[in-house]
Amino acid sequence: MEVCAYCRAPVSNGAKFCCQSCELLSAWVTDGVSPLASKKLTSSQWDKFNLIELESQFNSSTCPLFKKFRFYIEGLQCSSCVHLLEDFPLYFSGIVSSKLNYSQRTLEVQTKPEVKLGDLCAAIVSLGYEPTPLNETADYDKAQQLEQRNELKRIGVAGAVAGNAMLFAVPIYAGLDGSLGLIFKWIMFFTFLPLMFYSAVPFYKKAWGSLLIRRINVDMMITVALWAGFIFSTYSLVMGSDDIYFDSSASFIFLILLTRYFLRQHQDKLLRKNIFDDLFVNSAYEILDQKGSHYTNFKDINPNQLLMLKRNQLLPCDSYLDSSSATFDLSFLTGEVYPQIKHVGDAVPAGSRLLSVDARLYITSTATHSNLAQALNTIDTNVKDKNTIQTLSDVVAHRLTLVVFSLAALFFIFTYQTLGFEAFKRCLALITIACPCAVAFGTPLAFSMGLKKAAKHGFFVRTESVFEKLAQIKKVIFDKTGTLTSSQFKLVNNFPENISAENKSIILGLEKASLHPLALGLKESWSDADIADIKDVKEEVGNGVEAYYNGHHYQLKKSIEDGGNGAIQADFSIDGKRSNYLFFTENLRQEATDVVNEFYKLNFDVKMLTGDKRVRAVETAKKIGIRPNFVFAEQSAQSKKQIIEQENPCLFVGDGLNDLQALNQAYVSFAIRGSFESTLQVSDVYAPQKDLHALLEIINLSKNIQSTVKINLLFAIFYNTIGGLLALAGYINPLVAAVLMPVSSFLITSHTVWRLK
Amino acid sequence: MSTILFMVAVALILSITFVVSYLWALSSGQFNDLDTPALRILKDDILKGTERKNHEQQ
Amino acid sequence: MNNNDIKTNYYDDDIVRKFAMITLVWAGVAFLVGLIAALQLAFWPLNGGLEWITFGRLRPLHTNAAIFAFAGNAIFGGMYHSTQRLLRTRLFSDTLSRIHFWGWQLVILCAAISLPLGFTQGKEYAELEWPIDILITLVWVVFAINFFGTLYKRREKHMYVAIWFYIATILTVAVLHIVNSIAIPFSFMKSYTVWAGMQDALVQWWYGHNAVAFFLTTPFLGLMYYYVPKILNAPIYSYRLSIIHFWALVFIYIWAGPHHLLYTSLPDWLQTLGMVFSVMLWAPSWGGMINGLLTFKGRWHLVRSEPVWKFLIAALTFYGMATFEGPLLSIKSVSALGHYTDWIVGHVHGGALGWNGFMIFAMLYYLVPKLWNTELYSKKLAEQHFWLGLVGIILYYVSMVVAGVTQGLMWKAVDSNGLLVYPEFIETVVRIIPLYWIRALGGLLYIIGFVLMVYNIVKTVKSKKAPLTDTAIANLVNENVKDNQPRLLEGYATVFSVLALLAVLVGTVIEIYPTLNVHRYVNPEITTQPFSALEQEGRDLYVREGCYLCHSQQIRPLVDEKLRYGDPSTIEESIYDHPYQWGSKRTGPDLARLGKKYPDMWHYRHMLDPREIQPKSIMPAYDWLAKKNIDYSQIKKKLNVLKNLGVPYTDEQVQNADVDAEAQAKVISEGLKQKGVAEKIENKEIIAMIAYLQALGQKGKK
Repeated sequence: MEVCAYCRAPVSNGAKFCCQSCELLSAWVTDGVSPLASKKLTSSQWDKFNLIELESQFNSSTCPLFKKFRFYIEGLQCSSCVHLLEDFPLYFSGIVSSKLNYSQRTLEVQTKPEVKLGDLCAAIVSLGYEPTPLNETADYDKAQQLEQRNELKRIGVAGAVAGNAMLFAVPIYAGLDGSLGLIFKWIMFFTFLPLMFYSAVPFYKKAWGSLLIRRINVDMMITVALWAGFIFSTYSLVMGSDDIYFDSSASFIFLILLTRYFLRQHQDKLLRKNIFDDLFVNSAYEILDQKGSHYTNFKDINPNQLLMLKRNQLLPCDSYLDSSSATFDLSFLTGEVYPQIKHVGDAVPAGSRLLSVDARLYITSTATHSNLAQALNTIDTNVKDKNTIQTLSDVVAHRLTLVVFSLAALFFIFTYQTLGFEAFKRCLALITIACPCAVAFGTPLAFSMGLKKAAKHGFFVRTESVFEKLAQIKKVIFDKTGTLTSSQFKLVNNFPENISAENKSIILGLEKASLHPLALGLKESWSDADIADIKDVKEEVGNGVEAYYNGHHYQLKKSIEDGGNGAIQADFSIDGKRSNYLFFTENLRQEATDVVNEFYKLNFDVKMLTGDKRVRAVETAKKIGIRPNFVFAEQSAQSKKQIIEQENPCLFVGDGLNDLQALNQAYVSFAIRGSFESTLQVSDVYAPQKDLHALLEIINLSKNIQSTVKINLLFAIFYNTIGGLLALAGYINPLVAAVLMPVSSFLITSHTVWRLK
Repeated sequence: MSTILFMVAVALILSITFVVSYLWALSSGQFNDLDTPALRILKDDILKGTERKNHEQQ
Repeated sequence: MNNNDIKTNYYDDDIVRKFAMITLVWAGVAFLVGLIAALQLAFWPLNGGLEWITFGRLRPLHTNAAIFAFAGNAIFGGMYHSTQRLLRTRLFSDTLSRIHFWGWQLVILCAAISLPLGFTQGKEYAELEWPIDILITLVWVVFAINFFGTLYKRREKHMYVAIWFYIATILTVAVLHIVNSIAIPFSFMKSYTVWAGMQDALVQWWYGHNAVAFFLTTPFLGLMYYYVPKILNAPIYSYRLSIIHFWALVFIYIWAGPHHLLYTSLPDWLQTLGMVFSVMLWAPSWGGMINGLLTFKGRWHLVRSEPVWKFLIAALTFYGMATFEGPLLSIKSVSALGHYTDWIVGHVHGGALGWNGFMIFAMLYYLVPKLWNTELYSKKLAEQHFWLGLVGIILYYVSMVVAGVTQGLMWKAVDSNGLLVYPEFIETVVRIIPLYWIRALGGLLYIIGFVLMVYNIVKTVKSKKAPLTDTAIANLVNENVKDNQPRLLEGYATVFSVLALLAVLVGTVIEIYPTLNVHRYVNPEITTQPFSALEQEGRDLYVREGCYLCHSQQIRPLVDEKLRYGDPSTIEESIYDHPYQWGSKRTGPDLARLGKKYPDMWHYRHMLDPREIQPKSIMPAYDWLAKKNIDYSQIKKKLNVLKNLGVPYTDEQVQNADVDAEAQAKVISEGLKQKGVAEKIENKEIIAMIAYLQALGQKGKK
């Protein structure tokens, strides 16, 4: 097993170092080469930050002798990153101290006055990290941190109360009585109060909240159990009996608080609140104003402002281009891989990424009101919708709560005469042990973890119901163009057979700067040919290229004719006369055959649906392994929709650009490419960067999630039934119940985490 | 008997002290960064390049 | 300290080198003495007939050497090395460092001389007499100043977890040592501890167990938290876990002392407290082990080629074993079987050889090449060392656990008639002698492995030809500097230290304070007589010879013990015993009710040659007792000191101490002469010893 030459962490095939930091550190330690040695420190992207007006926004030092900056750092991986960044003073003169907070990914740098922020940023970039200067207002995590701290405080107090209560309870269980026993009991009472009125407050709030909307939830049960126990114990204390349960109530609350804390930690890391925020949260945007410009975060950009977008930045708001032409990458929105040139006055939507250098944009919407945000919001709201199984869990929880309360009440009424106080005790035990926290924790956790895992692996999943559907499905239908075939083009033929080397070089020269898929295909096929040096190539986007060279006019253009057999034809003309025809076809996806095979192994029916000619469709089908009688060829958009209707329930795998109707119609659909906005309206899963293996991945994941949830539910029902009966029969006292309840929550949570991590 | 009462009082005062210390530690940010220290210690104070040359010449 | 001072820009590596080398020297001594002691048990003639090398005199030498000389020097070296780097500053004072070093070696030297000579306070792991105790305190204070001074001038604001363990160690050991060692001297090298009887038992084992906790555990955990990540080049598995387990450990450990006194006459509530907290201690201890072991996650495949990693894993595993077995043994019913047996010895050595020993070896294998700026001479030798050591430990541990359980079961065996199955104690001794040989073999293997290490280290050190220099501190940026003014870092170090000390004091106060009023526990109907002058003299001889190391004086309220030894011991009976002599091991039988059981002649013959009475005995022969004279000059002083400590001697008794002693001695020696003893034994030490032995169990009568 290979290890990194510097830090000895495991490293994959043949690499000498595990990350750039190790490489830089290694060179520095052995050869004395400064990590900043071979890098150019100036970059236009960061120069603006050197200006005093901008820099002062980020300088948080109160003393004129020092400057202090904070950055959000992306790209942290390992201990070498800590070393490299904290050793900053050693290889960048003027830096006094550099402190990294790995948990929060922030870097705090203190410098002498002569150091400039822009240079600092550029230096950090050349070390291999993405810095985002932070000013005081840009602290997104502060609220979350505060919330977390308050939770920890409540837990700490609850723990102390529980510990103390148990300490004083032990002698009493051992038989201590008399005046000392009484003193101990009263001490237990008083130390219990902070828990009732501080630590348990969140339960009361949530219980009240659900009461207002006339629903019963878990927190209500907990509140009732807690107060019942408290009143009961206090009454016993005053009356002089021994049924005091302060210690068990305290540990009960402590354990629930603890479990919830860990759950929340997990969930916070999993699901981001808003996909939209995620895209833009770490960028600083430059807004032009009377004084020149200032930096702001994406939430504070307003309509009618002028935004100076930097190369590679993602535009957070809808806008018009205010400067002269600029090139954007709109693949996130349209699925179109080919970059778009916009001219002054053209609309540039939120979600576009700037490819050329600096563009000035006139903002027409705030970030939250942009089309992109609205589209993403629909996803978010969908995600919050309940699906069938989750609703099942909720129903189970509600019904269970209702049943338990009724049971407790009935039992009490009927047995109070005979059992007296004992009846109350048993009801308390029943309520405590039958708390449906397990269900309330387990299922949402399973789904959150599922969504997280999917997101981590590059899937956009529309709702949680998708998992359930994917787990059941047994039939898959593939679209052909773009789905089974990749978006790359291959030069398969040319007419005449032989193209002169000179012509080849001219064609390549024309296409040299083009990013068009056909151009790429050409460069791939003729990789060893010479390239003529042609200046001033004119490109008509999506159509063709032309230029003057050595006195002749050369043009390579997409042909109006159909290339036959599904191929695309491009015509090469010299001085207006067509001289060569080039034919391109799409490549078959490498993994297609494999994936189809895997589906067969899973006992799926595999079919193909395409608008292409039957001949070609069947040819492709044979190559992949789909049986010809399962091929639906020459279908129009309308007929595709009808076929899907007939074939339902099925999984339809398509390419968003031209299968929208089919995707919409299928029981569950999977888009492997396409425009973000429209695809997500109709497709259940969208995986823009993955290959077909992703299908199997997501099906496996869904099956895993479903079985986890089912096992959790079964366990909860089983446990609640047995536990409840034993409690009513008097075999479980409230003390034991208080311990058993968090144990079941813990078991379910652990089971879920173990299955789905 | 009086011993026990005294001990109990001491125990309670001490436990309150510990709870208060915990709350203070939490508020003052003692637990803000629990990852970096474990990584920071891994660095050796190896002299780098020119520093080492200077040192070896001493 | 001026930060521009060139010297302060370097770590003090020289002091670490010193400690590292001396550790190896004392390791050899400790192991060798241990081996001799082990062989003496298997083959009694190795006691040699010399008073300075009997088992009773060597055993404390072995324990002190192992704990304070071997582990102690290793700890200091490791702490000084890691602290400097964790705080990114040179040690506070070079002078104090060297005073610490030489002072400590002086302590060891004094121990090495005084212990075989019989100068002992009679308390386990605290045998050193009062002048040496004072020296230890002074050296410890020097150490503390040096350490806390370094802490306050640190450049790294955050105190890494290892530092917390060091802080807890220094503070707690100070408290433990001072409280347990409080004694009133009556001569230059002799004193009586202020504690007596049950109270002394409690203080002794509050000290003894926490010597294990805060000398053999917390500093090693601190070292582990530094060296494991460094050696593996991986961060510790969970920093959060280390916070939780540190505070839990430090708080809970203190209470565990009474688990050494289960089923004795210690008050029940104390025993229960000790038992409960000992069982709770299992969790935080394993927290540390888990943290250390899981740091290896993702790197297990590298263990195969790294002997040092093997040492670390084994050390952590033995730590886990020992900290599971400990709570197990603390349960009363388990203790009923294991107490006084060799099982405890096995438990100790699993921890000492496995956890402490292997951890030190790993640290030295890592440190020495670094400190001498070279590579380890031979990895293969280190590998062989590991396997030899491991087999040695296993042999040691298994043989002793088997021996212990065997003995325990044999003692407890009562037949259907209600009689002891093995009424003769010697039977239980003879049965386990073969196991003593195996244990010695285990120790020998461990030593051979160690010899390989010494060779390896010596070759490593010698390979370096260039002169040694200190390591320069990289990145001299000082967080202490604000607005160009140096300032003391926030008092968080102080706050932390105070809290740690409080955590430790809680258990101390709660357990010890109530017993300060011992008269609450004493049955007023029983009056205890103090020892007569001669008997006290004999008692001091008993302590000098280390008899308490093989004989206990505390009968437990268990069926078989009542049959074998008599009524269970009471608090009253030992109430004036300075120091208490309840003992913790029965290599020989319990002596609590030995008085008047056998005639004086029996004792005379038995002491001078045990095999005259019991041919299979493994007890050394104490024939010098018949040759050395009783020193009557000290007796008055002794009784005076004891009187001041609360023993109810009348002024008259103190005044006439020497006269009374001589008179009683005459009676005994006359009696012996009549029975046929030819030699002149009047005023010989044997008489005093006989007087004492005949007084055992006779003093606390209704």
